Amino acid sequence: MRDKEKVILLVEDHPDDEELTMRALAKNNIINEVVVARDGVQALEYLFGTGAYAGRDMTKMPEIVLLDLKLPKVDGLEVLRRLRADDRTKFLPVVILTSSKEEQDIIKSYQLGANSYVRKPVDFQEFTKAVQQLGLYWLILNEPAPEKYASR
Amino acid sequence: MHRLHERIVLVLSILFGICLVIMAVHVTQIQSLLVKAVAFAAADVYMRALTEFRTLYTSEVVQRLQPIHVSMSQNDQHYVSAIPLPATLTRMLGQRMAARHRGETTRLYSPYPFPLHNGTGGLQDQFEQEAWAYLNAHPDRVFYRFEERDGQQVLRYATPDIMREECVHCHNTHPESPKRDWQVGQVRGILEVRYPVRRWEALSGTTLWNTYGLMGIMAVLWLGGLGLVVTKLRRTAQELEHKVEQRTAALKFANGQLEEEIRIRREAEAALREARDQLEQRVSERTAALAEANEELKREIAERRRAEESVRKLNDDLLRRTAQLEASNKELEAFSYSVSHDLRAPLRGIDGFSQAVLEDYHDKLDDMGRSYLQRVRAASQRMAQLIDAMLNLARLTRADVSIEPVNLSEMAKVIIQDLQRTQPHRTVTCTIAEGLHAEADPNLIRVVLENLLGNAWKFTSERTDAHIEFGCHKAETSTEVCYYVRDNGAGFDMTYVHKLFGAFQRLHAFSEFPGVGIGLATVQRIIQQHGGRVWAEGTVGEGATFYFTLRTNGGRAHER
Repeated sequence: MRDKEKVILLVEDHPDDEELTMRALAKNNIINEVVVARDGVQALEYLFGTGAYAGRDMTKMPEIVLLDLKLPKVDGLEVLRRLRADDRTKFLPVVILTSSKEEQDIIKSYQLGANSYVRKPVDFQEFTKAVQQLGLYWLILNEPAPEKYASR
Repeated sequence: MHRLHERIVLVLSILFGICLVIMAVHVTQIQSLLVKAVAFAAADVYMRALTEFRTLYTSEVVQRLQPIHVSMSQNDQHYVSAIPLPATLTRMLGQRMAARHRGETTRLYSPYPFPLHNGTGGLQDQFEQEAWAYLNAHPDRVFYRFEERDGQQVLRYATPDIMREECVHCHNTHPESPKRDWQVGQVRGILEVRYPVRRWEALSGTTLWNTYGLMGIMAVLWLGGLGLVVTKLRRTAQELEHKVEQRTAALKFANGQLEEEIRIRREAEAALREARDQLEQRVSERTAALAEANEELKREIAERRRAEESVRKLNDDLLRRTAQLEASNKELEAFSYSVSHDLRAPLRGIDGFSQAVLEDYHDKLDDMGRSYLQRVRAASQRMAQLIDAMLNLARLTRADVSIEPVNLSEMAKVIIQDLQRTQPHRTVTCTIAEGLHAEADPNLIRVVLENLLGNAWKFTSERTDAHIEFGCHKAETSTEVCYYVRDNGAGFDMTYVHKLFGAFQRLHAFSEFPGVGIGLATVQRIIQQHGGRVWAEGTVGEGATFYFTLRTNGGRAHER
């Protein structure tokens, strides 16, 4: 039922959180390829096919970006801003997945065009539930923008 | 003035008369000179005519006739056979002209007369002797004199008769010549013309009398005119005198008035001077007062400046402190952010990996091990709650208060309904007073009511007859409105009432009543922000009452 070709881009600098997220995905039988970027720069390089990801197949864009806000080098909000400023990625679904529930962070995220804002629960069971719902929604229910528009 | 004026007329008349006399004399003299000059000129012309005629006769007649030996005679009786001598012809011409004219005669004379003329040809009177002597000495001149003869004035005009070259031979050879050693240039004799001045005198005399007559008429006209002028002047002077008298009288009158006026004015001036002195006095007094006031003002200004300076310093201080406060606020925000983000991450790790152990190594753990891991998870979750509660409190501390009318009764009802929904099994009697209104920040006051009503709900959980009441009473002495939330729950020991509103302070065991101990601290913070007070009364086992007030003006002082 789930399309293995659909890539998930996880932007997460904390190894524990990365591990837990991967675990939560696995627990929910989400077996899509997960690309992990450990800072903002890596995330942008992957998305735009530059740096370490130069020459990658640019027709393969992630189905969903799970974006942490607090990141080394380039923070999550800046990644979001650059992503929305580029024709190739402006319609890409981005879910902010973060520990913060600061009003400012939430408002800024939506201002910059985040599709969703999810606060990581401390309770792992709840976190697993949240990941499950995210996968269900963004990988199955949600209909992304057609490629031809996305790349305009 | 009158006299002088008259005298001037007299003097002028005399001067005029003198002038007339002088002029008459002068005119007479001029006339006499003129007559003489005219006579002189006429005699000269006469003389020249005679002389030229004889010269012409000598050169053109006598000399041409000499080669044919025509004899010449001085006697006119012999002219049948001889021509007259030049001198004779001259004499004859003079006689002829004298006969034709009126009175002028000529005479030719010399000390050497021809024999025929011995009686008349010599020097006969004193003039002729003087003329001979003078002209012999000065042959190039003439000799003349005016003389009285027979009662009339006569000009005697004498010129020398010079011996010329053509004459010398004849004179020295003529048989009747009285002298035979004549030389060229010698004076042979004298030709005199006697010219009566009478005719000219008569002519000019008429003119002279006419002039006198004119002068006389002028004198009469002058005197007449003068008389008229004098009369007119005299009349004018009289009129003037009259006018002067009148004017003098008027002036005298005016003078009197003026003097009166001057007197009045002097009095006024004196009064004015007095007034001015008084004014000066007053001005100087006022000036002194003003100077004093000025000094006072200067002092005040200086004081005010000092005050302003201190205010400015205070202001600067305040600005500095505000800046510091803002900086510390920023730090606090950064701290909060970091707490919310960074402290939760490890907790999530603790919880997540505990769960992972529980799931993946479930079989390798005994009950005790599993229980401990569950406790680890519970502890981490509780810590996450504490962190959230702390962040909430911090957020409230720096939240903006925006005051508006709030219906507290409605708000309380909604909160109770929510509580009932979370615990539908509970039966709680809620009494909420109607129409409780306040000026407050709706979001913050909701937090207050949620906490107070939530506490009441929580602490009455062990009672079957749970009762919660929300109401208010107005104090009689002030306009302050006191709201209260009362319950008949677990209550508290008043000994620890001071700990009630402290953050993370709990008076009950967590197992009894769960909670993080931040609710009342939050309530107190919000009420303080609204300028109100909050306090509590309670008895263990009987319940508690929480009172709070809001600033009656709506907490505007805390509006930001």
